[in-house]
Amino acid sequence: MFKWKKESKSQEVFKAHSLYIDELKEQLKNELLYSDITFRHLKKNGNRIVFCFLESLIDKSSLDEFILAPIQNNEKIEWSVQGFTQVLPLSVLTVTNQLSEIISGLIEGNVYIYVEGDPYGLLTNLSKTVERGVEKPETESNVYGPKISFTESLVSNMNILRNNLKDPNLCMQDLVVGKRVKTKAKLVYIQGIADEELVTTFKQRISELEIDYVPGNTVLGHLIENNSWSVFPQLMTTELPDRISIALYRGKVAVLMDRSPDCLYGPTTFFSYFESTEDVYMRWNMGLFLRVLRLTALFLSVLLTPAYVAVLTYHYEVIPSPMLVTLGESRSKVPFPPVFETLLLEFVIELLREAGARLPTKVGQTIGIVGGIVIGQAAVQAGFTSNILIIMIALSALGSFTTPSYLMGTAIRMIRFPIIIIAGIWGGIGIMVAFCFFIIHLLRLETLGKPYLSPVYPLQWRDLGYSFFLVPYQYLAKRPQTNKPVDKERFSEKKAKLKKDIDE
Amino acid sequence: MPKGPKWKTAILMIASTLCLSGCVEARQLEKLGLITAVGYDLDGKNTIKGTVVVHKFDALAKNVTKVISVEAHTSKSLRQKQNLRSDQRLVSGQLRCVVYSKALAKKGIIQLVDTLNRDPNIGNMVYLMISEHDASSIINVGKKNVKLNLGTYLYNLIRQNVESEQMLSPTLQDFNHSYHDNGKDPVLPLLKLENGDVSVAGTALFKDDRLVGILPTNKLFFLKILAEKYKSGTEEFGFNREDFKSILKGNEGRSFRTVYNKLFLEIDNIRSHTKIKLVDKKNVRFRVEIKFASRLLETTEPLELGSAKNVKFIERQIEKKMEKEIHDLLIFFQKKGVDPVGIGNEYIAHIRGKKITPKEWRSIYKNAKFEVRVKNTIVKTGVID
Repeated sequence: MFKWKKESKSQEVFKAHSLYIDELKEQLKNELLYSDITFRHLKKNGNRIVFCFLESLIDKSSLDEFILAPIQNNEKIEWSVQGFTQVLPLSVLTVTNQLSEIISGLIEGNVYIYVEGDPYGLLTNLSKTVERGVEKPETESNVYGPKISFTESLVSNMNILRNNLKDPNLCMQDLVVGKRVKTKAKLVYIQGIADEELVTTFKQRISELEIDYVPGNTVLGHLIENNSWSVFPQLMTTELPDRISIALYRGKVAVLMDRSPDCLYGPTTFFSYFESTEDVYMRWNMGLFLRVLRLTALFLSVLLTPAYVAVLTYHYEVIPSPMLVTLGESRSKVPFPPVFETLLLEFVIELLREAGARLPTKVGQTIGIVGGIVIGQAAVQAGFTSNILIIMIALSALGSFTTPSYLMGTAIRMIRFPIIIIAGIWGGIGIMVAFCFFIIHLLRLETLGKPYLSPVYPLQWRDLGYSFFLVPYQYLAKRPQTNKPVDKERFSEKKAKLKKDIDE
Repeated sequence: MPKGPKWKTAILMIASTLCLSGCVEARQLEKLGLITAVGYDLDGKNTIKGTVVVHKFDALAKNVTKVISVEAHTSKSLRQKQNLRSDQRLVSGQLRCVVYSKALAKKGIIQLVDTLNRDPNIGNMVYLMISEHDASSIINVGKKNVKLNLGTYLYNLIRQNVESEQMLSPTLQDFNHSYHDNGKDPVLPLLKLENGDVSVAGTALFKDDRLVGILPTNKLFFLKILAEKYKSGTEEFGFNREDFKSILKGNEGRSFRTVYNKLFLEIDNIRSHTKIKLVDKKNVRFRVEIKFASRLLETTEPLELGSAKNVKFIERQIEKKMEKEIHDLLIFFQKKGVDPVGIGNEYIAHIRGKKITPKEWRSIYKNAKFEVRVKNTIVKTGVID
């Protein structure tokens, strides 16, 4: 669990560096121990210049071209801060003499230019980052819709979002995550739509984090969510920029973090994990069908195998007579009780999934085939499991994979295990107890102070059209109430109802 | 968020509930012998013979059903004795049919039905039926046929007939309802062995819980019209040829022979609506009004159906016939002292406030008079499906 401690802000040390180059070098070397800090010297008329940089971080060709070349070629200019600003073809130059500022600048890939004896030096950014190009989404692949995903670079992520939403009200506030490693982050929202309170909550939670290093946006999500004991994720990360664009206009707030290929956003209620952007791009009725399909799959996935266990162990009365023979015959060959049989097969399926995910793609396919043949055929023939259970397990595994959010899918697969065990102990009553437990838990959960089961409880019937069902666009005039948007209307409901005649 | 101590109490509570409550008695499907049908016979003076069809699961055995029959005084001790003869525990949760022999039913079956009511494992949709001879002979039909599971066979036989509305629904719930209803008596189907096959031979009429009479299958059509909303069923009516002379089709050169002396018409029921009214409280006179829409399915001789007048004529003829049949049926019930139609309910509904015991109603019923009015419409005479 995580504590909101009020930070007692330590006074930052303001300390100017030494005016002598040799001492400056010593100071920098002491601060950046065992680093690849490099110094380049120039001399003219007894004046000395030093260029300090971390070799691995800067673009050397631009150092040569934009800094060294102009200074060496212009014989006439005076070697001072003022003189350099005239000749250097660089847009951003910072004047500083603070040691701490220089250090953090160097770590970010800046070059510090200092003329011996001057009170100030120049800091300029020549950083070179290793990035991959923009690629297709991998974890949240869609058939329909834009094929672009976030990358590890904050700037290109911001670029994608800015290009998606050419809205002057799109705000990107600066944030710093982590105490030792200060990762850059941006709080993204639409001014005039997103709830002020939501923005401040988000900002406060992130800025009050007392942690050395946050490895990525998903971890940030775990750190700032309300209940870290729950299996259910309370803040969603996505790699789809269009998902964020849609969410922003529903009054949600997002966080982009440098070196993290996904974007965190909230409030995300339980049902928003079952939304796919595809639903929006499809015609509403197809989207509705798909969404209802996914929710049905959720219930099947959670309850089908526990129901099998409960029925075969305790409630033989409810088996319909046409199924009785097939069920009983296949069960009569199995030496284990139904709970054990089910747990075993669920375990095998989980193993298969995990093995397939860990192995390289080419070997992963073989695992699929091996799993299909060995588990499907041989297990039944060997009298290891009943063939009806195989179908049920496959159904529930498939059901959990239909969830668009990988995190939520895993959560669903996990909660199945305790339900199966309790179904083996108490039968149908056990399923009911476990199910009630999860419902109560979901009711108590919050996502950024908003109820987790939101459009269903507390019932916001207008929001149902966004998250639970899908309705034609003319009925979605209001933004979701759950997010408490400032500007409540997307368009005028009255105008939308007017049908324009052709001769008007 | 709950912290330390709260968690401890929660874990303690969960652990103690799990430990203290223990586990529910496990009944694994493959370790059970599922009773799918039961038959009760009167055996001698004081004992009943119980025969059960047990469905069991054995990967190696060919025959999945087993018939066990024992004698005892109560149905629960029958179960105990049957259990001694089985390698798997006998349970009644999949019971589908209960057969009582006619001899037993004549003595009264309510105590045996009552044990079914008290067993929570037994559903309300269990079918009750009466067998013409021994119940065990009906149960034993399954023995010869290896693949046949008699419990489901009997169940499907009844269900198929109930769904196609050839029979009044004989579920446990219906029986209970009619039995406890002051103004109605229960009916159950009567089964018979015919050439090694089980078939429905009629309807057993009950006075309270005792069988007092049998209604032949061909009269069931009228009972169904009277007792409930009815949307199917066919019935044939025989008429004198003379009455229909005016609408018989001429030979028109072709020759055909008449097979029967009488003329038979087959009609089927599309929908019927029955209203029973107490028109005279003093003399207890009931008027039964039946609105009846039908199709003419078959005639044994060609009739001139082209004109509306002729169709009207047929309608009137059928009405007359039906009025007579239904009136006869009501008188038949009255003589037997049974009331499967629920006329008593109509009576109770008309005398408001006063409570009436079943005994009082029976004495009133004896003197009741009936007048039947049928309004028949032939909706269609042409192509039938």
